[in-house]
Amino acid sequence: MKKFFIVCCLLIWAYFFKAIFYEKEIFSQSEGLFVLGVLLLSAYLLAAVLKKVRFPGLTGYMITGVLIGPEVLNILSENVLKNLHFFENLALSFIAISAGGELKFKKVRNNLKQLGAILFNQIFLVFGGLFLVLLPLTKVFLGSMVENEKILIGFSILFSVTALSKSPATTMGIITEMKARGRITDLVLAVTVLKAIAVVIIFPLAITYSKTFLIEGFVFTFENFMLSGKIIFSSILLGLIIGTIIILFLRILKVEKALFLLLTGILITELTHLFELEILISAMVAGIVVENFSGKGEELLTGINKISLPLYIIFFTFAGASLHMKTVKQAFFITLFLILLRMLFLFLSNYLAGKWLKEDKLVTHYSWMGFVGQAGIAVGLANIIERSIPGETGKILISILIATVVINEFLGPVFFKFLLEKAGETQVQIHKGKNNF
Amino acid sequence: MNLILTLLFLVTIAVIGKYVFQKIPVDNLIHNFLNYSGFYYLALGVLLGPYFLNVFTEDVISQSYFVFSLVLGWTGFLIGLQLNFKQVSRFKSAYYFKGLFYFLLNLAIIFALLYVSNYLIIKKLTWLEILLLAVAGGMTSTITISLLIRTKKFDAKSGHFLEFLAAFDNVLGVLTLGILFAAFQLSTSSQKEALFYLVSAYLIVFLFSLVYKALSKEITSFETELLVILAIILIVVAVSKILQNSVLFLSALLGTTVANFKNVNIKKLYLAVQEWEKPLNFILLFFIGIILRFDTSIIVILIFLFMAIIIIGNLISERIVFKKISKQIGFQTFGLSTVSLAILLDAYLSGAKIEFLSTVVIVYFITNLFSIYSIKKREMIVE
Repeated sequence: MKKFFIVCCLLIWAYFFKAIFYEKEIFSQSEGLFVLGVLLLSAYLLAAVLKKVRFPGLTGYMITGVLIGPEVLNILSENVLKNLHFFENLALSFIAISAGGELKFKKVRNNLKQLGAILFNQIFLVFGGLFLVLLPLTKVFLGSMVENEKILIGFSILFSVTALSKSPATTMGIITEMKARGRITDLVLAVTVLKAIAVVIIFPLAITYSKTFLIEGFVFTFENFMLSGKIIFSSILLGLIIGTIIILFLRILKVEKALFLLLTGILITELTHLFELEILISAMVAGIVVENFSGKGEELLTGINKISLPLYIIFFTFAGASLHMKTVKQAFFITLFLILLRMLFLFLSNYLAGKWLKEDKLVTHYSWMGFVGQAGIAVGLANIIERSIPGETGKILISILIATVVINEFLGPVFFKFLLEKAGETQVQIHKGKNNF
Repeated sequence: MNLILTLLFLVTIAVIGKYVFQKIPVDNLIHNFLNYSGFYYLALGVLLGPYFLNVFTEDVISQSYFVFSLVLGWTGFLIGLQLNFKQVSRFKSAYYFKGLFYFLLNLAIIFALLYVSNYLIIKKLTWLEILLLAVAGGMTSTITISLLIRTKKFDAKSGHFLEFLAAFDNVLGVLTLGILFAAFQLSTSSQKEALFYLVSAYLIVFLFSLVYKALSKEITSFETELLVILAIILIVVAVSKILQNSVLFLSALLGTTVANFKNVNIKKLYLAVQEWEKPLNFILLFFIGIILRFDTSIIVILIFLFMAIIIIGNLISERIVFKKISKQIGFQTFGLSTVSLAILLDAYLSGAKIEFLSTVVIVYFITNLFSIYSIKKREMIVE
C-alpha cells in the first residue's frame, strides 16, 4: 500500500512538474535525466506492488512504461524515447550477453535430443501450422476487405513468422528476477537462445519472401539471401571478438569489472548499430564464448547482475512505452483469437516433442508456457505492411500484428513465472525445498 | 566523434588507465598524489580536447552535459552522506566554532583580496564571481591534510583537529555554494519567482529523501539499493538544473537528510554509492580536461593572483586561528580541495565562465603539489 501510494504521488508529481516547466529551455536539456529517474523509481515501485499480487516484476515495468509513455501521461514522450533509444539497445546487449552466458555447451550436448525436438517442433509446427490455418481463415475474416489474395498470403507468412519469435529478454528478466535454477529453467533458456539465433536467420529471409506477395513487383533474389547471410556471419564474428576481449580482460586486467562490462555493452551496441548487424546475435555469441571457452562465465554473470537491474527496467519500460494500446483496442477480438491459436500450436509443438521423448508432464503439458513472450519486432513489421498495403486495410493488418505481440509481451512473463513456480525452480521454492525434481 | 563513442572511449581509459596506474611503482608522494587526484585523466582530456588533438569536439562537450551533471550529483550525495550529525557530534563544539571561524575568515580575506585585485587589475569580475572563487579557494585539501596528520610533528589532538577542519570546510564550501546559487537567483529573477524556485527545490529534495526513508527498510539487495538511490539522484540532479539550483548542493542536501534518518543503514548505502565514486570522478576529470580553456589573457593573471591570494589568505587565517600549531604548518595546508573543482564545474554548468574552472584546476594541482613538496622537503613524513 505504501509503495502504491508513493508511485501514485510520484507519477502525479512528475506529470505536473513536466507540465509546469516543459516550456523552459533548460527542461529539454535535463529531460532525459528527469525521465530516467522517474521511470526507474516508479517501475521499481510498481513492480514491487505487483509482486505482492504474484505478478512478475517485468509486467510492472511494462505497465509503468505504458503509464508514463506517450499514450497516457506522456512523461516519457516520443522524443525522449528516441533520444534515449541507445539505453534500450544497451540493455538488450546486456540481456543477450547474460542469455548467452547461461548457455552451457555441456548441458546442451547432454540434452541435445530434447532441445532439438522442441526447437524443431516450435519452428516448423508453429510456423507451418499457423500458416496453414491462417490461409483459409484470413480469407473468411479479411476477404471482404482485401481483394488481392496475394496480400493475404503475405500477411499469413508475416504473422506466422512473427509467432516464432520469442523474447530472450523476457526469459532472462524472469529468470534473474526469480533467481530461478533447474531443469525447466535451463530447457526454456537454451531453447530460447537457440531459437533466437534461428529466428534471426529465418526472419529476414521470411520477411523478404513475404514482400513478394505484399509489394507489387518485388522479386526475391539471391542477393537478398546473401545479404542476410553476411549480416549473420559478421554478427557472429563480432560476438566472437568481443567474447575473446572479455575473456582476456577477466584473465589479465581484472580491475573495475562493472565498468568494463558497461564498456562491453556500449561497444556491442555501437558497433552493431554502426555496421547494421544483429545486436542479439553478437551479444549472445559473446556470452556463449565467455561461458564455454574460459571458465569465467560465472564471473561475467555476477558482474552483469550487479548493473543489470536498471537496464532491465529501462528495456521493459521502454517496451511498455512503445506499445500501441489504441491498436490493441482496434482489433481486440481477432487478436485474441490469433493469440490463442499461437498458444495452441506452442502447446502442440512441446506436447508432441515431450511425448516423443517420453518426458514428464511438466515438459509435455506446461513447458510451452515458457515461450509465450514476444518483443521488439512489431514496429519493423508494421513498416513493411504500411509500405505495401496503404489505407484502412493496411492499418487493420498492422493493428492485428502489433496487438498480438503487445498482448503476448504482457502475457509472456506471467506464464513463464507460473511455469517456474509449477516446476518449483524459483529461489524461494529452492530454499524451501519445493523443487519438483 | 559521437557521444556514444566518447563514452566508450572514456570508460576504456578509465578501466585501462586504472590498471596502468596501479602497475606504476609508487615511489614518491608526488606521483602518488598525481595518481590519486586523477591528474593523468585530466592531462589526457587536455591532450585529446580541442586544444591539441581535437578528438573531442565542442559538439561532444555539449552532448555530454548529462554525464557531468550525474557525476556531480553523485559526488554531492557522497559528501552529504558523510554528514551524519550523530557521528559528527563526537567532535567538540569548539572545533565547530573554530572551524567555522577559520572558514569565514579565510573566505573574507580571499574575497577582499580578490575584490581589490579585480578593482585594480582584472576589472571584469562581478561580486558573485569573486565570491565563487573565494569559496573554492577557501577549501582545504583532504589529501594533503591526511598526509600531514601522518607526520610526527603534531600531537594527536592537533592532528584530529586538522582532519576535522579539512572535512568541515569542504561541507561549508558546498553550503556556501547553495547560498551563492540562491543569491544569484534572487538577484536575477523576480523575488516571487526566485522564492518559488528555491522553496520548490528544497521541498522536492526533502520529499525524495522521505521516499528513500520509506523504502529503505524493504531494500534488501545491493542492486536495489543502488537502483533506488540512482533514480533519486537522477531526479534531484534534473530538478536542480530545471530549477536553476546547484546540483552539488542539492545532492549534498539529499545525502545529509538521508544520512540523518534513524532507520537508514548508512554504512550499506555509503558502500553502494562509494563503489562508483572513483571511476566517475576519473571520467569527470577527463571531461574537465577537455573543456579547459587557457586562451584568454585573463587566465594567466587570474592564476597568479588567485594562487598568491590563497597563500596570503591561508597564512593570515592560520596565524590567527591556530596559534599553537601555526608555526609548524604553512605551505603544507595550502592545497585546494577536490570539492573546489566540483564547485567550479557546477557553476560552469550553470553558466559561469570557463576561465574560472580553468584557473581553479591549475591552482588545484600547483598548490597541492607545492604542499606535498613542502611536506617532503621538511621530511615531515616517511614515504
